[in-house]
This record gives sequence, structure tokens and C-alpha cells, in this order.
Amino acid sequence: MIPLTHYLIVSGILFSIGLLGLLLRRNLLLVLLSIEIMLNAANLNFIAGSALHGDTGGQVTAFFVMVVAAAEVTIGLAIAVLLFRKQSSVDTREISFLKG
Amino acid sequence: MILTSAWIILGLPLLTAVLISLFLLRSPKAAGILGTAGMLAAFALTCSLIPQYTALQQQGQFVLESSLPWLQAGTLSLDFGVYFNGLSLVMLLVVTGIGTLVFLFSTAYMAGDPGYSRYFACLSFFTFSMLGIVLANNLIQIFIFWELVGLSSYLLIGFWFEKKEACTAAKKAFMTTRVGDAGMILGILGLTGFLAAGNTGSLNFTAVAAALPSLAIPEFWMTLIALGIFLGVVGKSAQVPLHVWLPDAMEGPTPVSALIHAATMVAAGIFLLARVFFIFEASPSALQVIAWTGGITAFLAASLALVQTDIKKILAYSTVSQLGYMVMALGLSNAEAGIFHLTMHAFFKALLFLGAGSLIHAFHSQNIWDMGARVQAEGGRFYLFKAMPFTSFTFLIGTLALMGIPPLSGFYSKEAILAAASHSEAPLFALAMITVFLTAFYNGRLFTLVFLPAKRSSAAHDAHAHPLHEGGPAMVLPLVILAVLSVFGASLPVKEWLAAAPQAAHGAAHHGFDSLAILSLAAAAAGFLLAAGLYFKRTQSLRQSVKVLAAPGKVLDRKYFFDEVYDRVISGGQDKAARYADVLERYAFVEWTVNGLGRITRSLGDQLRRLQTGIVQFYGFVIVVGVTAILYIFMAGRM
Repeated sequence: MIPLTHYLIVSGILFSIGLLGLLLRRNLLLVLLSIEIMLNAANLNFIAGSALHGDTGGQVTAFFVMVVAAAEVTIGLAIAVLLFRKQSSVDTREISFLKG
Repeated sequence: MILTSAWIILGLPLLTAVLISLFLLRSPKAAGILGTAGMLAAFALTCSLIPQYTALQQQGQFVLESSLPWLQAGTLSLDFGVYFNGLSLVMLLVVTGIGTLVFLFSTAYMAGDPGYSRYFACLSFFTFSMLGIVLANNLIQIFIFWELVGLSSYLLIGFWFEKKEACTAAKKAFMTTRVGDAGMILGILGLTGFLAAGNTGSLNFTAVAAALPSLAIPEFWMTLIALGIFLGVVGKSAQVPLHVWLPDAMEGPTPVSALIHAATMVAAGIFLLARVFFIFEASPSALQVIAWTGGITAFLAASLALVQTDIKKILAYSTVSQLGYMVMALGLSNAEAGIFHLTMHAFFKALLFLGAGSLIHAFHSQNIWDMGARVQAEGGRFYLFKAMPFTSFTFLIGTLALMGIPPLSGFYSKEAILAAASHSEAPLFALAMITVFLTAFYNGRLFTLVFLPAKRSSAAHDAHAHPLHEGGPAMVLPLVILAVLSVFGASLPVKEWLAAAPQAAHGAAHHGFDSLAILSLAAAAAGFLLAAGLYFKRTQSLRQSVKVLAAPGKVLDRKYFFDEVYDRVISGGQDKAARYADVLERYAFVEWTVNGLGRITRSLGDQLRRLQTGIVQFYGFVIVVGVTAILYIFMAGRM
């Protein structure tokens, strides 16, 4: 039996990788991938918790997260395609329509 | 029944004013007819009240009142109502009666004026405001109509607003009376305070009169309250030192002057004094101030009339002087004499003004020297009596009545006031007597110069000028009616109507020729004959041949420096204060406070705007930092 701490450490590492990718990557597609990684880090926590307590609630939640993630990626990719069509680039530095 | 009629009388002029200004602005003829008909109806209704009221008087009922609740504020309750007694009846007769004649005269006098309909709308509104004062049953209501009279006089004095002098005069009248009104509202507020302290929430005359004795207001405050209200009277009735607006108000059309001087505006002050006399009675020192103000006004105004060359200004100062008599009578606790003189004065002063209007209509000039020169050229002495017989004879009657020659109406009313004065302090009586002399003198001057100049062949005769003629029946009829009233007015039972309590019939109205009457008659005759003698052959001002008169003449020309002092005070005090206030407002309030706040906000926004980079990852970073910080703060305590 792998102790809970190990799961949490792996999940923490995954989350941090995802977060850094989210904040630092220039490519919009990789930013979306980073978000997926963060979501999966969270999923790992849910599963670990579920196994520890013998409760299926955590697993169910993980499925929900996957569904939401799929939907989110769909929209995210659509936005990426539209942006590419508009300015032939998916560099996040060049997306600054909200500049005040 | 009386009260219903009173409400209708109050409403009629308002109705005509509204109808004219809504529908008849483009049909002057109909406007004139409607206005005159409205006034005539009001006058007829008022006349129908006389027998009803005298019948009630016989049964011992003197006051009728009907009121609608209007405002409730805490314990204070204001009504809107009608208060009817003998005083109201007399004033209603004067206002609607003189009003009808002035309306009739105006239909001819104003013919062809582009503002004809507007004139009648304003005139109706003016009458409505005055009737509101006459019928008001509480202090606040009277104040509201008081202000409406001020407003409508502004509209009428400045009726020919394209003339700069008319605009200035209208403004002056409005502002000067406003000074008095400020005192009046302060007086009313002070009284309200004491009434509230005494648990009287009503400002109705009956309630105030009933509560006043039990309030025990300190002497000092009572005097202050009375003088505050009296200040309103000083403004409206043109007493010294607020008399300066009335002569200037001559810029309005002449029938308006007749209405202002005889029946409406200036009469409002006297009426208010009589209506709330119970307030003044409570303060003997205030009464003394009132009596002296009246006496001084009577004298000063009469002396100013001596040097005027404009026929309307002479009459204006004469009005101020006669108002001084009325105020003096009220100050001497003789309200009856004051109102009696007000009524008689309304007859002969309206007559004189309408007569002056008729002369101006014929001569196209207001200067008495010009008029005299024209008469000299046309045919000399008595020429006017042939050319304009109605105007000339009625003017003569008005002049004699104003001087107080028996048996004309002015004699009886003036005698009553002089009798009251003779029982008071000697200097006051002397002032009143001198004024009788001066009144006769300026009347003699006016009459001699205009009607009796010698024929001079050398005078330039302008053959192209229209011959002098009367102004048509609508102008002659009011003159004749007013002349009849000026002669027989004193036999109207005014004093019986005014009686507020049952009294034994007394024949005081005619007290025969006592020494007082002989004295005043001698003064009047001396004044008139002296003036007639001095001006009989004169073609230029008296001052040019009699050098002694140059200096006092100059003082009178400059109207005792009242206007100059006011100009100085206003330009030195008010204008300067206004300039400082302007600077204060411009910089301290607008520039620094309002605009300053705006600028701070704008520059803050400018700085904060830079935070919005538009780069989503930066927002993400800020969120992460923020969430981390929040988590740290909440978790730190737990670990």
C-alpha cells in the first residue's frame, strides 16, 4: 500500500508544473495543456482520498472533472483556432484586447 | 352665500387671466372684452354682497370665514380660506370697482399695442393677487398673495420691456419691495414661534388674535415682530425709506399706474396694517414708529412733488405722500380713518391718473412744461377746457379732492386723519399740516402750468400736430364715474360697513367746520393760490428767477439723495460682497473642491489603468499570488 503522502506529493508536483506552464508558456495550446495537467493533479487527489476512505464519491467527482475538462478543452481549442485565424498567431503576449 | 360669492369673486380674475393667456393671445379685442367683463362681473357680485352683509351686521354677525385645510406640519396647520368682514367688503368694492374702470379705460388707452392681450392677462392676474390679499384668512396665505402682487406688478411695470428704463424700474420695484418682504416673513416666523410655544398651531387671523393676549410675548420681541411685519408694509406701500420704487414705476402704462396707486399694490400695505392691527396694538412703541414713518413720508414725498416736471411723477409722489397719511392714521390707532382715506384716495387718485393718461394720450408727452407750451400755442388759458372738457373738469375735481376742499370726498377723509394727528404729538401734527400746504402747492403748480397758461402769439405753433381731443367714450366714461365718486364718495356708508362691533348710530361722518377744518382749509387755499400766482405767467422754472430756491431745488431734484445713497451702498457694499462671493465660489468651491475632486479621480484612474495589461497570464499570476496570500493568512494561524 502506497502511503497517502506520496500521492499528495506527486499531485502537488503535477499541480505546480501545470501552474508554471499556465503562467509562463507563450503558446496558447500549451497553456491549455497545462490546465489539463492541473485538473488531473486535482483528480489524483480525489482518487487517493477515495481509496483511503473507501468512498466512491471521490471517484465520481473525478469523472465529473474529466467531463468538465473535456468541455473546457473544446471551448479553449475553438478560441485558439479563431485567434489563429484572426492574427495568425497563438502567442499569449499578443493577445491583449483587454488592455486598459 | 356671501362666502360662495367671495370665492367666486376671487376666482373670476384668475379665470379670465388663464383664459386670455391660453386662448386669446392672438385676438386682442376679445381679450379686452373678456377681461373687462370678468372684472365687471366681480364688481356686480361684490355689490350684491352689500345688502347681505349689512343684514348680517344688524343681526350682530361681523365675520364670516370659510377655510380648507391645506398643510399639516407637526402642530402647525395652515389653511387656505376666505375671511370676510367689513374691511374685506370695502376693499373688494375698491379693487373690483376701480379695477373695472381701469380695465374699461385700458381698452381704449392700449388700443393697437402689440402686447394688448398680454396686458389684459397681466392686469387680471394683478387683480386676482390683490383680491387674494383682501380675502386671505391667515398670515401665510396673505404673504403668498403679497408676493404674487409683487410679481404681477413686476410684469406690468416692465410691460414695455423693450424700453430699458421700464426694465430697470420693474426690477427696482421688485427688489425694493423684496427688502420689505424679508422683514415681513421674519416677523411672521417670529410670531409663529411664540404661537407654537403657546400651543397655537394655526396662523388664522381669528386664532392669532384670540391667542395673542394669553401668550405674554415680551415687549421687546413684540415690537420686533410688529416692526418686521411693518417693514413689509413700508416696502409695498412705498414709505420712507423704501419709497424709491414708486416714482420709477411710472414707466409702466398709465392705467397700470392708476391701478397700482389707487386700488391694488400700495393699498395692500395699508390693508395689511388694518387687517392685523391687533398685532400692532400689542406694541405701543411699534405704533409710534409707524405713525412717525407715515408723517415723515407724507412730508418728504409732498416736498419732492414740488420739483417734478413729469405729470405722472408728480402724481406718484402725491400718492406716496397720501399713503404716508394713511400709515400715520393707523399708527395713531385710527384704522377707520386710514381705510376711509384709502377708499376716498382710490377714487380721486384713480381719477387723476386716468386723467393724466387722457392728457398723455392727447399730448404724447408727460412733461408739464411741454404740455403748457402746447396749450399756449393752441389757444392759451382755458383752451383745454374747450378742447378736452371731460378730462379738464374731472381733473379739476380730482385736484380739489386731493387738496381736501369741501365738500369733496378728500376733505372728510383727510379731516379724520388730521383730527387723529391733532390729538397726538405736536411735531407730528405740524408735519401733517405742512403737508396739506405742500399738497395744495404742487397741485396748484401742476394745474396752473397745464391748464391755465397764458396765450402767447410768439409760441411756436406746430400746424401739423393733431388737434387735442378726448380719447373716446371708453376713456371718458371712467373719468366721469370717478369724478362723481370723488365728489360724493364721502357719503358712502364706508364707516358703517367697517364697524366691527354694534354701535349707536352717530353722525361723526360730518363734523362741521371746526377750527381744525378751517386751519387745514386755509393751508390748502394758501398753497394753491400761492402756486397759481407764482406760475400764472411763468414759462420757465421758478428757480431761474428766484435764486434763493436754487440750492433746496437741487436737493429736491436729487430726491434727498435716497437713490444715490442706495446706489452707493449697493455698489460699495453689495456689489463688492458679490464680487468676493464670486471669487470665493469660482476658486474655493468650483475650482478647488469640485474640479479638484474630479482631477484627483481622473489621475488616480489614469494610474490604475496601467494595471490592466490585457495579458491573461498576468491576471492569472495576480490571482495565484492573491489566493496564496489569502490561504497563507487563513492557514498561518492553524499551523
